Amino acid sequence: MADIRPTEIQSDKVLHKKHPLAIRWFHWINFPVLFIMIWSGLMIYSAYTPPLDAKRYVTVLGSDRIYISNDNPGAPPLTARQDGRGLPILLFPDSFYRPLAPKWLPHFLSSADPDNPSKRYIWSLDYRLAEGMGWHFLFAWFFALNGLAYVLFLAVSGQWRKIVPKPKAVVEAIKVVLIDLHLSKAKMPVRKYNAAQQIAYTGVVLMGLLMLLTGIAIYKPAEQSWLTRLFFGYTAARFIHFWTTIAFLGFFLVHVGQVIRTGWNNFRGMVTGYELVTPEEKSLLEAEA
Amino acid sequence: MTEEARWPVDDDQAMRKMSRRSFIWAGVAVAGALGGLSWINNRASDADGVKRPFREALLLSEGVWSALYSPDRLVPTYDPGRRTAERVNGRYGLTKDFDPSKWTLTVLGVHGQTKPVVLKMEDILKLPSMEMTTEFFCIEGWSIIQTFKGVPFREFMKLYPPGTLSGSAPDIENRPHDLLPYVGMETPDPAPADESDDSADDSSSDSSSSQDDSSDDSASANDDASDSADDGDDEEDPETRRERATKYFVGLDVASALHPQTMLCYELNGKPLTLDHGAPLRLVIPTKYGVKNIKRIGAITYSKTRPEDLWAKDGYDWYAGL
Repeated sequence: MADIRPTEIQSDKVLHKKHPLAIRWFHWINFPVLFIMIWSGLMIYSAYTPPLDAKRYVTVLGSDRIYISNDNPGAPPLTARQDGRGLPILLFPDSFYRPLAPKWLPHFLSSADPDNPSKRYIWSLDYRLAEGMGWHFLFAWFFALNGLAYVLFLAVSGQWRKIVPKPKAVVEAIKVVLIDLHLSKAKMPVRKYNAAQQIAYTGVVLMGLLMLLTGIAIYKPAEQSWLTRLFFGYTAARFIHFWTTIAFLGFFLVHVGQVIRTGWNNFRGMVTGYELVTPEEKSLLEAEA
Repeated sequence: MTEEARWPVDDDQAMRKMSRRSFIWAGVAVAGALGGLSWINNRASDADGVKRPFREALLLSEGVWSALYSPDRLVPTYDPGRRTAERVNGRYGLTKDFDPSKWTLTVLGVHGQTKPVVLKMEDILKLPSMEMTTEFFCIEGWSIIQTFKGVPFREFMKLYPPGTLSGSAPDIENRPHDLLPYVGMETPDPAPADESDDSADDSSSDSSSSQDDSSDDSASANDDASDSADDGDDEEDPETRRERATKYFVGLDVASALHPQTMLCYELNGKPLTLDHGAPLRLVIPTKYGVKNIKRIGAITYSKTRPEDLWAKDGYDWYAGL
């Protein structure tokens, strides 16, 4: 496909419409909404972080070994799962939920309660379950509606053709990753999204759907118990919800890294909708549409 | 292409012009978003301590989910073999001066009764009983599977029905909408204030026990919604804290109270309730978070207005439906 190298001559470049206005709105609305969902989600997670304590919990991810209950020392040993405490993975130490304020910071800037500076900081995540639930269940609506609107727009506008990977995408995606890692000197395909991007951007939509469904399974395990059962129960639904969040963070880091690498012209495209390209690229891009 | 036609200049210049315009818009949008967030954050709380936008979202969700919900739909029940370990997680309202042998249940707002109805344990045990093994969800995020035995609250309400809005005779089966719409439950009144210091100590030990679940071993520490949930504990004045430690109260909508799996429970996992678990009589309502499953019920009040709820006052959802 793409045999054309971008030329170095600035004045040759022409405008190319890249992102429709709707997609730019969906994209930029999603950014703060997702941030608030993760931030408030951590407030909720902190209220019950399955602890990892060598004496009490010997269970590690993927196994379910014996746990002796201190509540009832005479009772036969229980596994952590029988004990119903969920999978005991301590990902975040206390300092994650409550990073200390630097000494030089005036405490009215850091303490949530200026009259009680020893209490906690504005950025603390623990002891804020009620507040976290408030933000989470309000912004879940924005997350769901924005995601739904995005998917509907892709479907109606035909933009989905540029995002949904073709059957051969895996092969191309591997090539793209090799080029990105400087392991291959092949040329990048000239399309709106290469196959690696297609897989990532389609995958992240599916992850959003998974977040929504596991979220509902956790939120309504009695009213919508069929959904909770679909995700193998409450604890498992929480587990999937949590690790999909971590996957979202992984997506975010790679995405931001790639945007920085690709440069200003590309980033500006998500704001203005236009990119400057060579006439040759432009004809290839328009042939795709 | 129409945009290009609008600027009869070269594309670099056109791009610069568009960029300027777009980034000004972006700046306005960012400022608007920050303004919106700070607006939400500065909204006053309602009587239940929930900020208005959060309350609106909770009510919207409640509306959507209750529209999807049929009151006859039962929560999943399990084979008792799937039971998980017992857990004591709250002692608010469980004062140490309590004498179970002197316990009575006071029911207010019973149809046709001007005075409170006072019941003894034998009155409760006379009613039809049921046993179920269900999952109990804490608002913190953990859950346990336990076997509960007791009187379906629906049966209790048939015998001691609430008054009605219309004034006509209550009909729980056919006209539940005419019943007084709320049910409040509270623990027995604690002993006079100077004797309640012991239980106030329970509450202050909460703050030292952090949210690490190690505290659930010492039955003195956590609360049904947990100390971790209790996000304003240390900032409270001692008077409020004493009150919280010695009194627990919940409010329910009558539809949830009438759910066939809502029960007045007196047996846990085949054994009589212990004091820690709310003996002699506690509420088990598997369609709500643990915070609504009040221990040691001293009084039940049918009412027209929404009863106060201890954790709702701390900023949690009043409905707290699962």
